[in-house]
Amino acid sequence: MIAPFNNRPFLCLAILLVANLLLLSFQVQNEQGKSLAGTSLAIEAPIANMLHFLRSNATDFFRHYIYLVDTEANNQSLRLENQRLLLEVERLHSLTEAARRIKFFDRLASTGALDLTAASVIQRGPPFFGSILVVNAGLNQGVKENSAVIVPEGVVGRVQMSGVWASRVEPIISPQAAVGAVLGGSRHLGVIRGDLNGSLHLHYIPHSVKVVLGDEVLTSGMDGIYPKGLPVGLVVSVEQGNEIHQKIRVAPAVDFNRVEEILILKAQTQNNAKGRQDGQELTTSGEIP
Amino acid sequence: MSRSLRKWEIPMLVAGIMLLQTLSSALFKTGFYFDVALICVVYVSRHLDPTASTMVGCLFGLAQDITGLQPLLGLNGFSKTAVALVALILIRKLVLNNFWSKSLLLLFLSIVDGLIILLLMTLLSPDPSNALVTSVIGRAALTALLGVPLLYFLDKINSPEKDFSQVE
Repeated sequence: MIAPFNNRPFLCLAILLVANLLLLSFQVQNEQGKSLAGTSLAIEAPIANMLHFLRSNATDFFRHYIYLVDTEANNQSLRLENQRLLLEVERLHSLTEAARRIKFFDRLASTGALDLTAASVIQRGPPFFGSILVVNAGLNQGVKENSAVIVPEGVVGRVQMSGVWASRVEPIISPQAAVGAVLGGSRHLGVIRGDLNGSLHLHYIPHSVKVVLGDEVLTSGMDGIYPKGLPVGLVVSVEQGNEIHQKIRVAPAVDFNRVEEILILKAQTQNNAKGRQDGQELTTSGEIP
Repeated sequence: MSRSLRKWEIPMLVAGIMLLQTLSSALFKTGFYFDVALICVVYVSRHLDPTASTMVGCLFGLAQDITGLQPLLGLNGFSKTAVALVALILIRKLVLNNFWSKSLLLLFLSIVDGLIILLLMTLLSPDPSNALVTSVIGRAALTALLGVPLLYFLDKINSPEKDFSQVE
């Protein structure tokens, strides 16, 4: 092709230069010249696309694979961090719960209706020994034997023994404990006692009384220990029992496994004191004689 | 075409120019990239006769026009055609045996190339941009610096027996 120009390089140069000038002039003067730009774009586009593809894939490669070199160490570090944060969340959750309960106790105590003191559970006995609780309030805080112990959810038990700095609390789920109770619906009086399984039983409710599942059981205030109207639990089953009384099982309002802060009623109300003086069925210790 | 250049080198160089030119356009600010086409023109001028050299220069310039987002097709075609012949003459007349002499040659050719484009733009466009002058200087400097290693690379890869400093 280039043979005719072999000895005439300047002729070839001139022809090429003129050809390029004509090409340029064609684009400047004619609208059709734009089609040339379109053609060049059509040629360039696949190359640009290919480069873009290669560049983005190369970036992804470095981002997803090369950087994986440190992934194992990062993973281990993140796992440890995750564990630490979970523990921190748990701790904060516990603190929030404690703060919520303490706030409730403080508000209750500030009403002045009862002489209250707040305490924390510092030890708890096994269920087969009656789930006895030890709290960090005693005689120095004005806590005496047979003081009622409550939480926002309901009744916990009574102070069984009061030391100088700590007291032993007998929960109502203990088989030795008893609470004067009243059925929320029928207002019929009975006695709540615990069992070794952590359940409560409502005694002395005759067959003539209609008991509905889910009925609320409250303290009656007749035992001289617990103020009237505190939640004890809900009726979960009603059975035939003996020829006089029904056998009623009550689910405690308080989750005894989660009791941490409690409120101790240091002074008894006038009604409770009067009830005790009048010789109720229950003794001051809440036990059936 | 000279026997000292392999047959597949020209298409490979055209493809390389288009690839690098597109890549440069995508990565760098317009104008501030080294002139791959010019370096390839200098490389082939070393091995080809004048006629073939101008034709290949024109081909490289058009390839650059297509892929370099140039405003007009033929700007680099025109300039590279001229520069190819100038390069061939200078390579045959000068002794280019060290980095700086090669670099100065590339700087000179790049400036000539840029001036031709500037002249054409002034003639064809009613209001040529002042940034074009800046880009010519920047491109010439980069081409002079990066061109020598690239020429050395091309000599070693494609023609291991050749040396750019040798003058035929």
